[in-house]
Amino acid sequence: MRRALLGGAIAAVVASAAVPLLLIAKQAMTPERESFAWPPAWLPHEPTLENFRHVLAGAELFGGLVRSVGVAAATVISTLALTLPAAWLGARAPAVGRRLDAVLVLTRVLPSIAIAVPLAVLFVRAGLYNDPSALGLWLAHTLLGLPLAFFVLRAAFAAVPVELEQAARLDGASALGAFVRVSMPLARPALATASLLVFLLSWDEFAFALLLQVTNRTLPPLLYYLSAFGFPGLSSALAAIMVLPALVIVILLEPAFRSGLLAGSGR
Amino acid sequence: MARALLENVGKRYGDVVALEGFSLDVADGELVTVLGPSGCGKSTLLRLIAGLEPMTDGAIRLDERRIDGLPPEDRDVAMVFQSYALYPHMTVRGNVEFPLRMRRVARAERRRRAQEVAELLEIGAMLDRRPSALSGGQRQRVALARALVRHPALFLLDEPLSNLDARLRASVRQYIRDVQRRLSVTTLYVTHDQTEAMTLGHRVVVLDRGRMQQVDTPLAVYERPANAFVAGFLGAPPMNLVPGEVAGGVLAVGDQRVDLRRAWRAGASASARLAPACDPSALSGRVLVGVRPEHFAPATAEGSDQDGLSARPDPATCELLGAETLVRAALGVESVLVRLLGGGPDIPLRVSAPASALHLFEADGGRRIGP
Repeated sequence: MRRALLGGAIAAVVASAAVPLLLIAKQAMTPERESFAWPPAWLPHEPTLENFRHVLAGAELFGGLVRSVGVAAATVISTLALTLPAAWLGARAPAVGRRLDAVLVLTRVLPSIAIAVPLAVLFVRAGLYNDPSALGLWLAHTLLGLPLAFFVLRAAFAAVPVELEQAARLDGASALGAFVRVSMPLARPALATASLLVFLLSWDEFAFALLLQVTNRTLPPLLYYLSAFGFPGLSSALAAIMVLPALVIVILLEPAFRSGLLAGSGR
Repeated sequence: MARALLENVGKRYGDVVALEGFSLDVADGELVTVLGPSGCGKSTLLRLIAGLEPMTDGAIRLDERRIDGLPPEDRDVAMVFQSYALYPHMTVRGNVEFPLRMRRVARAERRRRAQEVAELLEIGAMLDRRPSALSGGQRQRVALARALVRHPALFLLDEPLSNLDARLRASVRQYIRDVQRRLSVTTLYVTHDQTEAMTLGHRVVVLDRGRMQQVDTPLAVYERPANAFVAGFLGAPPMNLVPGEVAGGVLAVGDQRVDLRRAWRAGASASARLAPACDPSALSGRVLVGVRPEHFAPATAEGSDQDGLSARPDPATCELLGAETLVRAALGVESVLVRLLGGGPDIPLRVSAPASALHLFEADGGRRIGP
């Protein structure tokens, strides 16, 4: 009985994740002229890849893809560069950490759409508004990524015994050397996690992207326009493309997520 | 290898004194153990020497080089942590070679020296394993190897045996002793375990509440404790301390009277072997009387031993340990612990300790006043 219930629950969870994905796949492979056919079918009559071809061939869509990948990758780099030292400090000096907490939480407490408007004004003056290479959006996404990466990395550094760093110092490493050779490698799973989370945060960020990049768009606003203006096939193909990187990253980083890296340091 | 000189070293955290006026001269190749209860400041002492915490007073020198202002990596001091602090992401070889890599020793030389110290510590077969695949005793040896591989000027050990089980502890203790003597590396060894302190150290420092209580050879610390704290801390079980009063060379404990004058003549007592004779006639007033449990012996008849303190064992409290028997005994209104040799179930009616086995300490302050 319990096993049946558990099985049912698992099936429900899997279905709730899988059904939207299947619908996206089905719609993406349905020719646009078939999209509004009645009654709707479970499978397209004439499966086609023409939607994908259109998405990738369209200059705006392809430009959006490049822009999205670029912004997400740059956001990961800038966020990690800023949070690595901050998270380490936060873990080793709790008083500093608490102050950083407060500041960083603030950026997430305010609704991002509310920050986006003044930010847009600011970027207009700075010449970053609607920048073709999305420099402004990159800065905005870094702002969003900071607290996320900070909390993940700080927890990881806090889990590294401070004695390992002290041992490295006594073994002849400088403070930076101890960080690079001992603390960083031990925080590797968290580094992978933080990279993934920040990448995905930027990848599907909508509010800033909509307001800061009015014509030089990234994928989320493009997807919104495609579906709003009645292209279910194209928007589904784009949605399918947007799902891919997440899957690829999870598969690539899977080994790094394995825990147990800290086993064996003591006792 | 070097001589380590600590001058008046002190550490305060705000108003809290962790260590005060600590001075010690450790000879080249000497092993000094630092013994004290938890919170006595012994780990603070090591951390100050290692440079993991800044000190508030004093100076630390290795030979003529003053090191207390230097960062840890420039002090030429190696340390074995209580938790071993092995790098879990490196193999045993990576761990042992790490200090050499930090000093830019060439690869071939690194290999050779890591191999050499690994043979010495019998971990040569495990060089390619991760620390997580090793037992506690093996990790301990890897930690020792990592600290010793670069021939540090000063070697610090912070309770290195406290994470091992009792059986392993005795063999590793012997082992550390052998390695230290063979390499004759100047060593400070911090512990709360008196067996380790007594068996390993050329000299023992006893520390309490941030202050050095005594520094001397293990035997001298045992036989002539400098104060009541040391007396009550060392020995298993530790020394009995009972209040008494002394006047005109005669000690009064409860209704017993002990004439100290004869017993304290030079050469008469175990403690006097290590010190000049002391004149008990010069003393007067309230004192603390110390008697080691093992200095009590069965007494033959009532009142036959005028030159000692006698006590009445309570057979109900007897603990048979095989080679020895512990029993509580009434000494006037005080209760003392008595250690009798042999495991027999026959507890004598009376036990007594000779006057020559008594130690006197100031009633307040606890400083040793005789013999």
